[in-house]
Amino acid sequence: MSDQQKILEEVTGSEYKFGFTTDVEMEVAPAGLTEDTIRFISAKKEEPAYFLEWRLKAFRHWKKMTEPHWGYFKYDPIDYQVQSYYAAPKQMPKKASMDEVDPEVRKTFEKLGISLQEQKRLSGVAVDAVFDSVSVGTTFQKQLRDVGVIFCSMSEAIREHPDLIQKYLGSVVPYSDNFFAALNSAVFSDGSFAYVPKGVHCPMELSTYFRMNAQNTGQFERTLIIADEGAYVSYLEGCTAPMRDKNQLHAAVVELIALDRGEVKYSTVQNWFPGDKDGKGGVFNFVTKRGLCAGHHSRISWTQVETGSAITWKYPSVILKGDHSHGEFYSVAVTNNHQQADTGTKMQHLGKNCKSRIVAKTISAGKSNSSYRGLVRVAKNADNARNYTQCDSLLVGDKCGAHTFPYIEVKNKSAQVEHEATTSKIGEDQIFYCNQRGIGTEEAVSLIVNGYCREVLNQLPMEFAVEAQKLLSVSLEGSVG
Amino acid sequence: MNTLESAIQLPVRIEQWWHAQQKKESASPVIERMQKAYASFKTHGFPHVKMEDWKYTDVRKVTEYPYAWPVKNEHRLSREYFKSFLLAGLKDVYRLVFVNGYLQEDLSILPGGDNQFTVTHLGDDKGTDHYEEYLGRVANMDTPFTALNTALHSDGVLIHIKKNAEVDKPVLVYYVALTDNDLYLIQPRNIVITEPGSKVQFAEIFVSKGVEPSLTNVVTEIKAGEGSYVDYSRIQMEENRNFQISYTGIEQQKNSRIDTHVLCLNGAFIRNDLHFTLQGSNCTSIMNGLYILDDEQFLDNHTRVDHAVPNCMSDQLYKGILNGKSTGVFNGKIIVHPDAQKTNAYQRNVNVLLSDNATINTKPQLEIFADDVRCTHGATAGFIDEEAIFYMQARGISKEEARKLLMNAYANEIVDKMNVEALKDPLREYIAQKLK
Repeated sequence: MSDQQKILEEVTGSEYKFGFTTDVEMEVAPAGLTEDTIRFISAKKEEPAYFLEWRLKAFRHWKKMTEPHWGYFKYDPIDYQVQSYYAAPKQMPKKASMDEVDPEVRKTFEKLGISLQEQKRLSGVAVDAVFDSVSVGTTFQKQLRDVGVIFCSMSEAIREHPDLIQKYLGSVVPYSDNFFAALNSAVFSDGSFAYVPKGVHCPMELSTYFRMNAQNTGQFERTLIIADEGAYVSYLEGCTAPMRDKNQLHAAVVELIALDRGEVKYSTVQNWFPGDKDGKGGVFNFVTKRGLCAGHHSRISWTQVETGSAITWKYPSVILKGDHSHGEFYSVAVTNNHQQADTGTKMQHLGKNCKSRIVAKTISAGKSNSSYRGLVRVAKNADNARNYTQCDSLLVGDKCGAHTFPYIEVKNKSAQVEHEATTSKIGEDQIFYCNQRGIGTEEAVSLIVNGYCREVLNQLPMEFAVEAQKLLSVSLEGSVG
Repeated sequence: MNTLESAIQLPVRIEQWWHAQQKKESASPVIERMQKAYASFKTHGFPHVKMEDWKYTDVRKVTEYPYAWPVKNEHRLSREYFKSFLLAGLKDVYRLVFVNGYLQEDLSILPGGDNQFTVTHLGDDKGTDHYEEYLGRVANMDTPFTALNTALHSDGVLIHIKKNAEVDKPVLVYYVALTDNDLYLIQPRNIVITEPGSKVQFAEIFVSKGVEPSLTNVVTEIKAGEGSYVDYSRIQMEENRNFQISYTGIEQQKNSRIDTHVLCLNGAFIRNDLHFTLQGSNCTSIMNGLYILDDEQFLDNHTRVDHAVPNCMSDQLYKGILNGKSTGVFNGKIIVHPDAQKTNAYQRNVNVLLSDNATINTKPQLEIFADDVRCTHGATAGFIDEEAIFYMQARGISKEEARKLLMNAYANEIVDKMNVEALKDPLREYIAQKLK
């Protein structure tokens, strides 16, 4: 109970508490997007020639595509030529030691509760911190290297591990996949790369923290995680951005690959700036996330807590290609004020005896709209496929909307696919019960919401679960009464 | 028909039919409505798979044929042949038989004398006023096929019931596609108006005879007044050469109740749209559906309920059995508009696949803009319960027999919910035959 109390106390009076900006000298690419921009980014990152070629191919393809508009939300058109595609703190550290990181940048991460000072860390979480466009430091690299795990920034991987990059990058999400994936392939500046070799159980949680700081820049990061045969890795992702009046675009791509008996667990706590009370500003979070269960008995699990962003538009998916593979998706999406979320998952059953499970919880408050959109597809040869989907919506207030668009496509008679959804509101009697026992209305809502989300929050690693609970309380503040 | 004519595309033919019809009629409000509908059809053309509502349904499969426009009174069905259709021999009912979209009077049984209700067809003078007042008032013109029907329809049933009156017998409406000599585009139009407190039971039954394909594009509009009750069934039993596209628009006022039963038992290609608009509080809308497909049959059931006012209830159960190379599509939308508080909406779609070549695409959909609601939906796709079969086998029932029992019980849950008793037994028999 005291923990709960502390959490509630901590969040009182705060709106978006990560909205500060950091004053560091930045190197920003001129606004606009042409082939020269891509050459500039590639040169900055000292990338090999093959990679520049790949980026240019993606860019040429992107130019032929049109922006999709089927999502259940509205936004003003994005001008891709007014923003900058590269921003990095000057005095780029060569990362020989953490001490070389710009103190201002380090302070930012400390303010966010992410310490790059590895010696001070008690819990063993290896962090790769990405500030605007570049990775500023990866901790615990040595310990990881000892067991053979590669965990570094994407640009380092492109330079140091070209064989792995060439084999896997773009193999799950090809640059031609969709409009935003093509844009990301052309201009992504950094991200995290993790490779866990055969039979290795990654000894600690891997984590990336993304921070958008500069104005008028988009953030385009790319993450690739590979669990080789029998390997296991758990990966966490967190993100924040300062408050800006203008909308900022975040178009990331995440690819996960699990080979025979490999397992990847990917958790996200997304807390980009959601815009102010009147819906001004905020981040457009248009992300492509996909995992491939390539080998037999492989397992991929997505857990996400979506509380930030003006618009969230993403569908972390799993392609169940290997026989006996397993896909999971757990999600809590909270929208308040004018936020809009259209999120869900896709489970593509291709292999035999595959199982998938989807638990999606949405909470809408204020004038927000949130949608669950999911696809479960069972291909003709995917014998004995099993899927269970549950999606619940909770409405707080009468100006918000909750929508469900589940698609089920079955071409195999042995498939068992179940979908269930409910929509309801927090009962007045539940709140009354809490009030009677001296719990304020707002706290009561927070309690009920936490209970409602427990099934998903339980999937998160310990450190994140606490943060996620706090976030839920903050996001819903002011939505009652 | 000469070869040159048969090469002309359907939209061009439609244009010709439209101009021929225009010459005959003079301007009036109802003609204006038809002109508007035609303009809408002309702008949009036939729907295509890039449209979300037609994602799984490629209508090119049915619009590529060189259909002819049936001429009134030219198509007649013998009494003997009519008797051979299922449900044709039922007693104690009113009966209207439309052959290729036009009423064949000698097969029909219409109420005589003075009544508190009118049960007739559009071509009859008794219904002219209602026809002119209500045509196109309920149906949503956004669907190109509905617009086409509004512009160019043939005959159809017209039911009007005065305040607190009741139609004393169920009204059975037969639509026969007769294609012995030619292929036809058949476009019946039906209008049902129930004034406050009135009651009616009616069923639309679709059958066919012939060697050529046909496309039936039927639209039914039901305007249910305060506290009225309508029991509506649609039974589709055409042959494997007949195509059908249907739209039923229902508008409900306060305290009204509508039960719908949609049974798709046979036909090569069926697309059904069922659209409820709840305009008064305390409405009840029931949707029961059953589809049994085999061979290469294709069926698409789209339903939509617009909860526009508080305190209404809608309940939907659609069950499907898919065999052979058939494809089934289900899309159920429940839209709860702002202020439609205290809405209860339930939706369930369950499917059984009996063959590895069958496909089901289902999408139950909720769009909710009010917070004090209780909405649930569920969808499943699966195979026969092996444990239930084993249980019966353990009690000496053969596997084949057990499977049959289970399938019939599964399908008859929907038949049992029907309210016109006389229809139930013949339908159960028909279903048992098809599931053999």
